[in-house]
Amino acid sequence: MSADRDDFRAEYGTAFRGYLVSAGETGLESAYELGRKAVADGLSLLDLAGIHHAVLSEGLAAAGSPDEMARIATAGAGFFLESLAVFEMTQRGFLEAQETAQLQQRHAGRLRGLAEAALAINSSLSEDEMLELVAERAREIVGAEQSEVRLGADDDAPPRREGWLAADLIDREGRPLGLIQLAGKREGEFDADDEAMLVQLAQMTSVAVENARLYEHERGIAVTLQRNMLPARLPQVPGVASAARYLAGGDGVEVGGDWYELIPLSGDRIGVAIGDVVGRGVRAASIMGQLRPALRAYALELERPAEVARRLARFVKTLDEDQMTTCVYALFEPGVGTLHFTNAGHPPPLLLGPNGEATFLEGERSVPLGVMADPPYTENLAKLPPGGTLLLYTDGLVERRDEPITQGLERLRAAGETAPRAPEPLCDRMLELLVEGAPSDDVALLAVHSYGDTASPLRLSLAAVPDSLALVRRRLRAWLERTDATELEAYDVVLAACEAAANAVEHAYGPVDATFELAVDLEQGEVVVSVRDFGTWRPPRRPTRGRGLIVMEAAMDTVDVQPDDEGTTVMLRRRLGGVGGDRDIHA
Amino acid sequence: MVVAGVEGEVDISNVGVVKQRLAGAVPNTARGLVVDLSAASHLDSSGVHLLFELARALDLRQQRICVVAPSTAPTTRVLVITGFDKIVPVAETVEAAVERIAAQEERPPSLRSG
Repeated sequence: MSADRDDFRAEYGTAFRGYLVSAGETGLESAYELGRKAVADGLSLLDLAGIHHAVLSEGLAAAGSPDEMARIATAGAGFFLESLAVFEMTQRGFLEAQETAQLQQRHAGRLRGLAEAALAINSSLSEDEMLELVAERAREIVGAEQSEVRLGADDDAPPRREGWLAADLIDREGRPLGLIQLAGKREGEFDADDEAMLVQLAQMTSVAVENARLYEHERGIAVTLQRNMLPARLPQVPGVASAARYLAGGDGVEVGGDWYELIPLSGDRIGVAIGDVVGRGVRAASIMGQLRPALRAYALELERPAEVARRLARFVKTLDEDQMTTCVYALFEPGVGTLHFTNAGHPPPLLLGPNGEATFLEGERSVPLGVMADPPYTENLAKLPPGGTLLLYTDGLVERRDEPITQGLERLRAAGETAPRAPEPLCDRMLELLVEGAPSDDVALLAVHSYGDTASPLRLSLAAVPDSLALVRRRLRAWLERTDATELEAYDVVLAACEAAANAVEHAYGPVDATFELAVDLEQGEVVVSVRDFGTWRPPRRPTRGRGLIVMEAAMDTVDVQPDDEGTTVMLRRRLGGVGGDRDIHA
Repeated sequence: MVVAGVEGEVDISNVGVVKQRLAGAVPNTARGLVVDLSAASHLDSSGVHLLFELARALDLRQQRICVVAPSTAPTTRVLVITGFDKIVPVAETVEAAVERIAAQEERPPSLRSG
């Protein structure tokens, strides 16, 4: 190394002295060359400076006069500067290279960030989740403090914020979907690279949003189709209360084939049906769509279940497809309580007696509809006693993987022993106990409840004194026990009746107003309480009067206060069976 | 602090007596009153009125009140319907009620008009 240095020093000295003599461009050129050589040889700036200093010193020492010394010094400065030129360029180049490397690293980092964001976006579960994710990633990738991602259509476009870097979200058709914008860049200002990144992110997000929406839309159509296929409201039929449930199974995109029907017939009789079109999708749905009106027509015309089933089977066979459907059709006569039914390959309906009995409707099971052109369907007879409930269901309720169906059936039967008989709570309880999480198969339920013995009306004429209230409560509780009222329903009825009775007692104001009357009836599953007093109406003496009304209104479905010449009658109604009314205050 | 339980049915026939007994059970030196309704089998608007009056009377005497009404008891609903539980403290158990009154020591009791 030092040998090279010595050589270099000698060269430098020669070049310098040459420059001193000629003082021209050639001299400077050689200085430049030397500088380049120094860099190439790996000499440092310090080395070069040292060499120059040494050579200059020699030159100055050989100077003859102060003038010559000055000239040499000036020339030396110029020469040295020139030799440094390459060093300077190299330095700058090095810095630039460093900067470029850094930029490339950053870019690579961003590209990686984009790729990761793409993965995350596509695995987002919900639109909201996705938007949050995009906002976060945008901040990370670009290096900004704030971000905002908003979706909105044309007229509802999210506003662009002043001074923010923004990129539009646009769908495949070029329509605006929304906006993503950033602010507060951590280092410096937003540049073209940031914008490019944001645009990329916006494009990915647009695609993801659009895809998700298309899927939801399709799914929405399927669900709507399904919902429209099945009756949303069951017809109100005198003598029974009913409820139905439909739980779509699987991923819910494909429409299922479960169906049910409740058909009012002449003489207060009712046709009840449930079935399962084998298969899924639009085909099954279309079969179901044609089958139900046919069933209604046959039921109205023929009535006898075996006949209905036979004709329906023929009808299903004529439908183009190789389709089958299971079916139970039952004809119920309230009052008498008879249940004639035919079962075409469907799981047996569950009969719940008023006192906790739970048995399956047994009888001859026939083949599903659509299997044979003229199947020999037979009819069976059972009894649905007053206060009892018939539960029809589809196999999604009792079938579980890795389990024989008999196990599921027994589970259903056992649950039926303690389940409520009122149809709405019964359906809720069954779903709660038997369906775990999201069912893989559709589940349809139809519960038909026959009203209990209409407890004979309660009629009381009582002294309008406070002590009468306890008697009212006692008698009313006993009466309610003979109905289907639940404990909570009974409590509410007693509470409201007591309030009305207390008002009647307060109205009394003399020997003339000495009594009040209480009448309680059960009309088609509705408890009707009427309290009549004979007192002259007086303005409320105590603030309790207002509260009493609030309590009555909350506990009953309707409250009617009718004053007349002789007194006031308060009518309170409450439908039993957990149907209707404002129930959010109840447990 | 006094803990008093109300058992059985409360209506206009006995509301005056119940109120007298409850108010009478609280000496001037007591920090407050816990009214335990867990064993009440009937409570209507007259009972709610009595509780409001009781709360007000105690408030005048700078004494606190807390009503025990388990959320599972049917009698509790009338407290919710009438908005009672928004004005007078209601607790699930006697223990919780006692704690509630004890904890309010730092702040002077105040009662919104009911």
